[in-house]
Amino acid sequence: MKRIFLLLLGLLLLSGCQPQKHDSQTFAMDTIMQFTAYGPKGQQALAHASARVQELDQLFSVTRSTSEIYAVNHAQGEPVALSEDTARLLAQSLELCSQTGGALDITAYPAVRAWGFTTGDYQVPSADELSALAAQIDYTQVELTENQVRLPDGMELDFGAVAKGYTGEVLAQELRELGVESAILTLGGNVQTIGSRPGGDPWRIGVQDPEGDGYLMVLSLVDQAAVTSGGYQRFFDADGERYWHIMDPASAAPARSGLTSVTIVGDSGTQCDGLSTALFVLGWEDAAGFWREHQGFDAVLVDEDGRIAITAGLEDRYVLGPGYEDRTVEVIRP
Amino acid sequence: MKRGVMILLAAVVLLSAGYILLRPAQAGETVRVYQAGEVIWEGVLEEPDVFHAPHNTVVVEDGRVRVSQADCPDQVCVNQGWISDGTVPIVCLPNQLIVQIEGGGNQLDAQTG
Repeated sequence: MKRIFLLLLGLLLLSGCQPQKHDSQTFAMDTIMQFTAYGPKGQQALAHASARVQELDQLFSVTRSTSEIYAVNHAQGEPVALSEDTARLLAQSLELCSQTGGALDITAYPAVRAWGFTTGDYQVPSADELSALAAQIDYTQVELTENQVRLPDGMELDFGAVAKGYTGEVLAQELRELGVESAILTLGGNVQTIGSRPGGDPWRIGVQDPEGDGYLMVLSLVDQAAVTSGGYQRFFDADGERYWHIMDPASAAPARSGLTSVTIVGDSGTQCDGLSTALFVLGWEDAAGFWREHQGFDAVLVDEDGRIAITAGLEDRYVLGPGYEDRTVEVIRP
Repeated sequence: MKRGVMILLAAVVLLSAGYILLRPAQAGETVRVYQAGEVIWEGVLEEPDVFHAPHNTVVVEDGRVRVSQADCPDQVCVNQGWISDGTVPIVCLPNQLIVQIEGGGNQLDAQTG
């Protein structure tokens, strides 16, 4: 009888054992961010996260006239002192620009604006205009020394391809320091995970089908970030052509590499964010080559014929989504 | 006395177990449209419907929902297409509109893209 009593008591305790779930939602960096944290530290940690996001947005915004980036872009060639966050993100971004041979270039903002992606006033610039813009895109002209930057007059920085990744990475680190062991942050299309699901299982992250409404595959993530760049996210159609927001720095025009989406999975949100753009610009073969040369992250590539490839590190960490079970997935090996 | 406590406890456990096992299945997921943080419309995912918000048109059809028309310049909300679960909301930033499916069990924790 006593044994039954203990068994029942155990059952009762088990059913009440789910850690408390905390949610918050905030608008920043031109998108909506949704944060979920589990456990007793969750609520306080999320309050910190929301405040921190607004703080970083205030530093990185390219359009707000009070941001640090705006100050750099309007300094007319004069040096500008940077906060620690901006200096660190700028240093990491320039490193990614260099590593990708300029496939990522954080000085492409004038091109993004010329196409109307900053306002929604979409237009196709003339060929002359594009070559003039392309000549102006050159991250090697950015002079960063410690916490000071100097940009040639007429050039403009834009953290659009890295800011959300950096923010997710910083928040993950700070939430862990605040005692959070299980949380998931969605920053627009960027996903950052902290620990695993409350039960200990990995987080299940869907990869959007660039051609439809479903998800191609589900990835298992623990303590990592996943970021997708795709031409379907922000685009307009004109004269039967589709133009998207991911620019090829070489042409100052939407990158047409044959890829429709690139997802990067890795430990560093900043790296995932920057590389998702860069590998989209590089195209299938060069993206695979880049991964072989550098590694330290994983990727999912989808091209316009619907071909799907994953890098070897994801082989045991994906399941095809509902309706996509019959698709073949190529594996890129070292 | 001791026996009474045991019976009472057993009853509580049985009742709660019964509730967990037998509670009604989700009566249908709810579609909520928020504008500037306020709920301005509620529908049921399984009931086809059309809602005309001040700047956006929201269509519920075949267990999914989309923004079919918007007066915003970037059309990101329209281009997002259909959603059928609570993993990602549809957001129209210029009009501060959010379309969210609530009350369903999410198959996924999040979605990239």
